[in-house]
Amino acid sequence: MTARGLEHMEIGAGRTWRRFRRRRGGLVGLGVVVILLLTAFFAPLIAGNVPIVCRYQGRWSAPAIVETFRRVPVVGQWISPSKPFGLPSVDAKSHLSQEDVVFWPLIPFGPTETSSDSLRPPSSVHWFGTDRIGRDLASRMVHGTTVSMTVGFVAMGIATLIGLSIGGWAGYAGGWVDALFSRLIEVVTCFPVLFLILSVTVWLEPSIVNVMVIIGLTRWTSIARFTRGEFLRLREQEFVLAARASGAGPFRIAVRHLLPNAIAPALVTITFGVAQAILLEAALSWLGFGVQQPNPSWGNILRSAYVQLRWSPHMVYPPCAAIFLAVLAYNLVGDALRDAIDPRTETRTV
Amino acid sequence: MTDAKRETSPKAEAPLLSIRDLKTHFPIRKGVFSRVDGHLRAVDGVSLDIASGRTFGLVGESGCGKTTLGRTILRLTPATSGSVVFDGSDVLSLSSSEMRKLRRDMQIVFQDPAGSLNPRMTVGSIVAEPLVIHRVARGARLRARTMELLERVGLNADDRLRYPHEFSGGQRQRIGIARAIALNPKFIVCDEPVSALDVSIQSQIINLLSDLRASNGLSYLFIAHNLAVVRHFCDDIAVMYLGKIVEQAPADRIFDSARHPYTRALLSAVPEPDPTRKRSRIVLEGEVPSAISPPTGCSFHTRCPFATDRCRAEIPALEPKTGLTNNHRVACHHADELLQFPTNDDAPTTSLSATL
Repeated sequence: MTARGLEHMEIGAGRTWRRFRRRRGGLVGLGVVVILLLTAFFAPLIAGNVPIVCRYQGRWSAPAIVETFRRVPVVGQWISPSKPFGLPSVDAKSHLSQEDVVFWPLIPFGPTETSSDSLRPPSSVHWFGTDRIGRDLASRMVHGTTVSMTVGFVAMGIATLIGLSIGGWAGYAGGWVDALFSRLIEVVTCFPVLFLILSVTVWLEPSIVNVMVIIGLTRWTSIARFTRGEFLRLREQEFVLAARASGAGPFRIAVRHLLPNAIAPALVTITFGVAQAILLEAALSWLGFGVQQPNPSWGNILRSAYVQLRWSPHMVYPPCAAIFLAVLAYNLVGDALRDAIDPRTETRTV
Repeated sequence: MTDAKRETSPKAEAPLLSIRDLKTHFPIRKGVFSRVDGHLRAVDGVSLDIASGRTFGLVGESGCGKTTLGRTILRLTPATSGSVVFDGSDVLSLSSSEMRKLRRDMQIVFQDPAGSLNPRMTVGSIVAEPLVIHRVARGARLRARTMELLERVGLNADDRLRYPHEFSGGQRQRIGIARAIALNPKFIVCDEPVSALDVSIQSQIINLLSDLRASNGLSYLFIAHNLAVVRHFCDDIAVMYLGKIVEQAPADRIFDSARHPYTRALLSAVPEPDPTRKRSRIVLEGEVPSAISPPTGCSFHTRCPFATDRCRAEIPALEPKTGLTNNHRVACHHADELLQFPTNDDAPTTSLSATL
């Protein structure tokens, strides 16, 4: 049993990728995910009222590029904005004249930049039209991608950390520790996340950080369950006994021997979890408990579109399509990953 | 192989490993509240000594507790009672940090060469792990030592960068052996190291273990379910049945003058290469009884052709018998009577029970 049970583990990342590649749905999903992540990271270069590169009064600068890296967490806070057009609040358009060299982003409007062109339908200037206070919808969609991807990854990052620790601990220790953590997993699985967040925002400011933390604190249960199961199965394997015989302590066994062999099923759950988190953030922002105006998010764009639905239906389509596409893409990747990791589903090749 | 049969008396010095009345019982739990519903007596009162430099063979059917015994000695499975003294220290009562130190001297080679190697680690890091844990070497010295170990067991130094699944069963077992000898232990439990291998590979692995014994002065507890494998490799052999040792003697004595009916049955199952030689084949009736509710008295009485009322009531002690050397001990009430019956091939092809 031991040899056969581990057969699919032995193959490693290379073989998994080869099997993943054979699934068209997964590849399309992966392509969309990559595009979404690139969009999220390089949003200031795609849409914004900050020039990518410009020469103003004889000096060259690249404010949008600086801005892109300024948004990287932790590292970003040590980078100062490029002068004089580094901040979206500075109206670069009115300062730059014909003589200055300027490369604008593809969509030359800031996500919070208002204009008198309100509720315009899609045109060659405003690709997706404008909203009630004249903000460019395309620009808001691009910057909303950053919010959705960040929420998806940070929330699931927190969930993964908790899920792997608790599931791993329960599975490795067994006995009453396992019983205790298993009950905890069952209780947290039953939490209605949406209402939990609603109640929390009664005390705390509704903010994107709170949303991420609460999703992370409640969505770890399936990761924990999978990890626990894998740890329970693996801890009886002879290579774990061999490590114990060599004098390895519990931490080393868990991290070096069990985790690398247990991560595959958790990875699938994490991928599905990102899709769930994106959907949850959209729902919360739609209700007004997530990202606050004027900052854009797919959820709150959809909210303002909903208010204007009767008169300006054009605003509804972009956020709906984006949410649908993102959730579908992550689910396709998760599906293909599950099939690629588990050779027993080999029979079906899409 | 003759180098193994050293003439040193095992009583000359204190044994390297000394086990007294060791018991390992696993609780059987049932129901919602995990009520303990009985015990599986995997190892049920085993005593044995292994002198330094000697190889002790442990033979028995699947499920007789020999693997559990090996693991209990290394404290990989908690013991229920009894004592294990290794090199002067009581293994079962050491603190975990003292135990970790002791693990440098006692190692194990597993039966399943695929399952005992972490599929996600390179061969090099598998072999080097004990050295890393015990902080024996690091950096370039660690790499050199790893390469040396791989070459010592007959693999290439370059193999350290590959993964276990790229190797054959015999090569994987060599990797397992390299890991076991990494810390220069004094004693290795070989838990059926060749049972999962092709016959042609088995002798290579046995030869490797034999070389290491000679060069490193190792002692082995060699577990097998096949007497033929242990015959030339071990100094002493014990036969285990249902968690107990039923017969124990120097290797030659087991083959020449086995006294316990179970040992004789096992011996008669060893394949005979010469088809012209006639021999008696003892086929045991029935199944091995459950270790959860072992039979009363002698645990072998349910399948023994010589069983009497005494066997059903009284547990036989493992003790020397008349007509046997002092270091040959048998746990059978009727061992003395069985003296008259030939074990060897000269006997006509009659069933043993018919002669009685």
